[in-house]
Amino acid sequence: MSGVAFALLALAPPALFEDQAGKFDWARENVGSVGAAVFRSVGSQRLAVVASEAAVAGIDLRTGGTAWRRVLPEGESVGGLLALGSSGVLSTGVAHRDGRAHGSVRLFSDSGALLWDAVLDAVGDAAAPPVTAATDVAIYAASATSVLALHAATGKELWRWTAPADKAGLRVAALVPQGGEVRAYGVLDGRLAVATLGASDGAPASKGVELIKGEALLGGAPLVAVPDGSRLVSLSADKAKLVVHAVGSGKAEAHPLAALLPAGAAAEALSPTPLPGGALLSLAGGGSAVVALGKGSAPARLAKHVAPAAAGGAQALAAAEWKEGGALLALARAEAGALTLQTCELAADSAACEWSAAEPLGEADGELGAGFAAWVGPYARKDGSTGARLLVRSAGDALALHVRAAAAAAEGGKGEGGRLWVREEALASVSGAELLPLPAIAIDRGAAEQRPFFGFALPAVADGIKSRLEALQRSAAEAEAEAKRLLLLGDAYGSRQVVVAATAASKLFGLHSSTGAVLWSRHVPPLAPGAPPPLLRGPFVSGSGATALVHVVATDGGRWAVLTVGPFDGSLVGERREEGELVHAAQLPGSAAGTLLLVDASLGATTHPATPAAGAELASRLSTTFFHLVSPSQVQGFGLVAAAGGGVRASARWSVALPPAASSRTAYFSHRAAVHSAVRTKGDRSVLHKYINRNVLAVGSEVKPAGGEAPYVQLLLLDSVSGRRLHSARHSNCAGPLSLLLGENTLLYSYRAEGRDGPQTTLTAAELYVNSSVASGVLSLLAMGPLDPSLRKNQFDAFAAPPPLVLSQSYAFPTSIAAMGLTLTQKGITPKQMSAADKEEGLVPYSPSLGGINALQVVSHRHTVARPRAIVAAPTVLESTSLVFSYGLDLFLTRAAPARTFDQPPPRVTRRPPPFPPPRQLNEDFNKLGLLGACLGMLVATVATSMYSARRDLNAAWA
Amino acid sequence: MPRRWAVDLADCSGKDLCDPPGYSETYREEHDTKLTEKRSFDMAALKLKKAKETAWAPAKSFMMTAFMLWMSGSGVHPFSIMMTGYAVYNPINSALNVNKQFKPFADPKADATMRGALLMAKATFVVLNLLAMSGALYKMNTMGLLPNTPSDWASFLVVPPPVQVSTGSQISAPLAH
Repeated sequence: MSGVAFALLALAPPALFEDQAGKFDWARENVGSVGAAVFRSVGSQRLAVVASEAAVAGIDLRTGGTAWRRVLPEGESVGGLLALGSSGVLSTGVAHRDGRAHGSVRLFSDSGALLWDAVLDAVGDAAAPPVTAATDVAIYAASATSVLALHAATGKELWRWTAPADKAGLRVAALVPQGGEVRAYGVLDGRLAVATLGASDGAPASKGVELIKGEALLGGAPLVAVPDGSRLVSLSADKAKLVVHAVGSGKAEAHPLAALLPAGAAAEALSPTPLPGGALLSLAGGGSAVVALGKGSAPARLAKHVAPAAAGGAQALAAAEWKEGGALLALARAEAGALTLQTCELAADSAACEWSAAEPLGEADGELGAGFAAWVGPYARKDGSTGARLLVRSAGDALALHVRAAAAAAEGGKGEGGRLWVREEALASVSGAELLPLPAIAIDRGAAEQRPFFGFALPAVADGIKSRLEALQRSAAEAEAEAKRLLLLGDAYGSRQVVVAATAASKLFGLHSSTGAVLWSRHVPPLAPGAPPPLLRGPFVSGSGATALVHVVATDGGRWAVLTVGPFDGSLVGERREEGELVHAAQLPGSAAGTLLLVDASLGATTHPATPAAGAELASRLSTTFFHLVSPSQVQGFGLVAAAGGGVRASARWSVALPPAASSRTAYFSHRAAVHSAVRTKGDRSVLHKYINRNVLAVGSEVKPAGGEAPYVQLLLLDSVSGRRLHSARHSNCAGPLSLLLGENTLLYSYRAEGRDGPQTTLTAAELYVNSSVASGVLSLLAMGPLDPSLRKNQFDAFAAPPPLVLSQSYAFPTSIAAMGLTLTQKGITPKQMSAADKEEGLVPYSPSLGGINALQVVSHRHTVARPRAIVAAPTVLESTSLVFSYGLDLFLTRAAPARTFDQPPPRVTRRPPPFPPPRQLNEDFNKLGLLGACLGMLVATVATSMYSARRDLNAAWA
Repeated sequence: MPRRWAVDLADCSGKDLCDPPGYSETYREEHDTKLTEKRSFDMAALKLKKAKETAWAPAKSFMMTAFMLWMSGSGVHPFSIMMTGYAVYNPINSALNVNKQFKPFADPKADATMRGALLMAKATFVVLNLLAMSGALYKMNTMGLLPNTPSDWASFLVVPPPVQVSTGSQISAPLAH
């Protein structure tokens, strides 16, 4: 066995020449869904330091570009950011290591350098990020029962305190450094508790952990210390009282909210945002309230009340530290298609403030209307007034900076209604993607007619000057329209395609495959008011060329909808909404119309479109159409039967249990992928018959057994029609991350083997063959003639086919693998595999290691493609070439030619507008007339010389 | 008694032209007959000998051709293809033109034995050419240019289309049914 299938980004054949870098590929760096942000200034540059679950990044406020980005290790996420004066920004988060959650603290400089990091004790299953407090010399971080003091400059651990065993139920939730002490507040048995520690050595006071007298606290509610550290605020267990504790006292006072809040309003949660002398409450029904705590014994009172947003709109309240210990409150409202901002400056005692007049910040689309989060960055204007920048993350994860329209021009922006820039961060959460060629329009033909023959340059130069002059004469709007028109033109070779991507942020995108430009985006709002954001399945492509359509199935557990959009402009062509829970949505393989099969939780099956033709198509294929559902514990197989009362129902046929305590991944071989040959030719030119079953399901499970047994990786190959187990393998003492790739008859998977010398990424290749009853001799084959695939006996019947013979080998691989993909070409002739023994001299001896990765084989060259999750490929018209699209936190797209560009002669200089690189294929530049002339010339010369030679021989004979 | 060394030049004994001195009509007739017979016999043998040489000519050039084929290597390159092509084409061409090759050696007056010998030479010529061609064919085989293995006819074995189709989805919990 010798074949090893590779189609990794890292192991594609020789990648590209230096001058090709960036011409056939593009990469897009994302940050992800922003969950925290702080505004910073670095010299003259103003940054928004933002954090998502995967990365911390500095974003230039003028351009929206990424000034720097630090991707966190796999398994770590950021929960909050804390600005530390001139030191930088402290991020707090949770890191999952060895199956446990730990608190994580990292200090980044404003220029993006990681100054230090620290890992705290395990925080348990709750996995809340650690709470922090900072002084000039130390940073205190607490998670669960322990408090850690770190040197502010070096991150060196100064001391560590852990709650005594009899107080193991303590959950530290706030730290208040004051004088020479640090008070660690937490909740113990529902009561507020405090441990007073020495700031220099962490020595606890003699009293140990003290319980504070007062109301029982709401579990999970934050303990919020006001910025001056004088008081601590929380919410009582019944949410009816605000519990205020004066730091240093032994009791907590309860302030009934009924007396503070407007009639009918009830507190929902306490915001963790600290306000000077006050607390910010979220109210049931959508409003907010700011409660001023009052100085000394002064009673608490309502400082500000924010009514809920109007129907169809959304609002967000943000606060930021501002002048003299005060704060700036910002209320952003997205209503009636407009985003407005109101601000008020809270004094240090949270005395009442007045909202400024609502100022427009630009248009508000449906994404903002569905809800958004906002962060405000106040600044002092030259005239002494207070300005505010508003960073907004929409429901569709678009991150935008809004400023007042007057300020927009000053910021150097176009003043587009106050929105300076927008970043589509939903592209960091792509869940599925399809590529389809842009409709080809014969633009090349016109250019070819004008092209000079045999390279006389003068007409081409004249053409170039003429086109440049025309471009100069165009207005900016015309030039933009022309550029947009050119961007949407396809080519005859299918290399310019649109990538239709569905994301976890309920948003659809159309990206250009040549440039990565966002052609269009469409946010799918909740399917009902108050419903959660829908989950998108798909996209599914039907039709081809200019008439192609994209279907996306949106589900939210109680409703589902099928949206049909135009793939090239994102226009909504149709929408179908239904009630019920959808468990399965897929395109019927082989359906010319691209019919979707939809199955709900009650096993009722329907089609989309719900037309009689689609219904008849499904009815005609009932006995040959199956589906399966993969859950964490089992795989269930279903068939389709005609329902008694009409319609179609799913019928359970088989189920296979998966290992308990396992996380599983699946892989399929696409029904649409072209397969050219049914056999594999060996070194001696005999053949092995491939086991080509398009219904194979590969399930890989990482199993961590309870009871201290060693973890293992299990691999299962199932026929998803019959439920038969085709192959299984168990790799003991191995663990994830697990990657799977299923080819036409090849299974490739990677995992981590715990060897004596430490963990080693291992790659196992399994090839599936079958004992064929078809004649294997040359004479027999000649006598038999070509097989007729329309005959049932020559088709693959899942219930009658013999099981495959599996040949597998494992190799050590130099780096861990996050995702694998297989190149697809139009006819499937171009090899998808890189064989280790493809030379006819004989088999290459097995080597346990695949060696290092040649730098020339890294197709992503200078780009860092962070956290890739999946790789999809699409064929082009050229058999040699396929487009490979990788998505994860970052996006990357390139052209891959596994067998080199055998159908593409070297390029000549072409005249094209800048966005399009010169195509490298058998294009109109190729001199077909010259080739024909040369062939004819050779023929004539052969005949003429033959005649001349014959005549000379005759003359010589007579002489 | 006539003198021994005396010749009467006028005595022609009834002939128009007298014989030269010492000429014996009897001797000439006897000698010419023998000479003619011998010359005729020598020419047929010579033709047969030449025919045999021609018949064995392919064998003589076979080693040279084999050496050239070996030198051209087993890779599929223009030079090796050209060499192999000539090595296949030339024997076939020669074998097809066997009659033309042996025409100068044919003698219409030849007897059955001679004709049989010539036929044998032709057969040898054809066989040796076929032998030379088989060497070239072996070379083609080593180059992988002969469609004599199952992999060359793999296009007869179509990829079996599936009778049934199946699709799948991920769900969070098994479906009760």
